[in-house]
Amino acid sequence: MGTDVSEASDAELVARVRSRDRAALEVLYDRYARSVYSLALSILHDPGAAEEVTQELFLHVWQYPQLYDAARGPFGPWLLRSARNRAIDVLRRRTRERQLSWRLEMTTHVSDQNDPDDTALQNEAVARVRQALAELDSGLRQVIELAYFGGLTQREIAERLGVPLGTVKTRVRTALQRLAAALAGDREPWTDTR
Amino acid sequence: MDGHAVTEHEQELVEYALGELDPETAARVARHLEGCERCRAELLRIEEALGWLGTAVPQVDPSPALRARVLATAAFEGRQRWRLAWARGLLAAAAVLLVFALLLAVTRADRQADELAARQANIAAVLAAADWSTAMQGERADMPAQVGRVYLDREGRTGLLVLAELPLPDEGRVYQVWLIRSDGGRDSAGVFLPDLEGRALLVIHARDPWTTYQGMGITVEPGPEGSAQPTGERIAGCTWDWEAWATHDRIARPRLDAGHG
Ligand SMILES: [Zn+2]
Repeated sequence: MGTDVSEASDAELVARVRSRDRAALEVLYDRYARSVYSLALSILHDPGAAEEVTQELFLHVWQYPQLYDAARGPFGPWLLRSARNRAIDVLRRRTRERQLSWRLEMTTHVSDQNDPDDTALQNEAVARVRQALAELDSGLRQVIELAYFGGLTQREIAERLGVPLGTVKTRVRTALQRLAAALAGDREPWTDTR
Repeated sequence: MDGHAVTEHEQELVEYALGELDPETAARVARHLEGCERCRAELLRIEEALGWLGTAVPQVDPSPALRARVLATAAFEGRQRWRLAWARGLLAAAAVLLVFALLLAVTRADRQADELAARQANIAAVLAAADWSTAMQGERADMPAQVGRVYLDREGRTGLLVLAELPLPDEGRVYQVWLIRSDGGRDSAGVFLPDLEGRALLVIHARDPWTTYQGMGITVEPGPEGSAQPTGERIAGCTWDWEAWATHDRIARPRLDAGHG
């Protein structure tokens, strides 16, 4: 005891959650709820549903903190990936066809806002990924947004854009490569060491 | 050049990370990942990029009420957990006793007992084969946060659903179990009624391998035979995902060998 819980690292907080420390959950919530909620809202465009996703996710962390494995990367992106997957599940549960064209519309401008100051998470990774996203040409950016925020499969993207599936796959892969490379900074991306 | 170049798997890893693969392919990739460090490293890179990508949206504050709700529910579930663990322990002990009692009855060649014993032996076999388990969450206000557990054999099609503290459905209604496909489709896994204590012990036979499904739900449906697709209120359910599986593998991996390629 004695150390200030609000100063603890994410990994320390998750360890504390494992020993049923609710103060640690509170700090994690204050650190990430805004990002989680904003992401869910961008995918669902429904504040009620986005709050539900946020609530479920934090309670999931509370109930199963062992599901986060520090060996699989930092907590923030892990949590946001879970948030994205949950929001996409909700989206897919709604009638697919009715939503499809709507999702296409909504997702095309989801990341137009490129002001890193407005996120609660102030770190280099956030700035880099936004920068990299802004630098993608529109074709790459469109497919990654449709796949990530719209939850469309690559096949659906190909059908809707009237582009061959192979082209969509290449674009998605290339866009992700660029983002990953930007995050890795000067490390050589996608190295094959053997 | 033993093995493969990273790029060979890159497309699959991207699709895996986006949750786009069909269940069989996803299962194959998951098994490959267990034995291939390079692909695991590659997947981490992709996953981290996908995680940070989630911050590239306009930032909006959720309502303060949400914070209060989350923390209050967490406090409540902290207490609930012990009570349920205790109830589950009792239930498991009762099931074991039942198996013993019924196996004894079989030796007396009682035909009806023989059938029941076969059922219990079946349950025991499903439990023995199970290599994965998750909690069933109560989803209605009058139910506990957890109403039981599902035990399943990831490489097979059978599972065991152990439920407790279920209220009886209204007259003429039954509970129906649904297996939720990754594409959102629902397969009926049968109908049931809990006993008067609110308990049920169900052997589930999935139409397809478990890897085809991403969760389970229980709804209230008209009796006695239920519905073709869910129509009534959903009262309980659970979801599972590959990420969780990867973690559980570390706890209990009796059946997955780390075969490469
Ligand atoms: Zn590999």
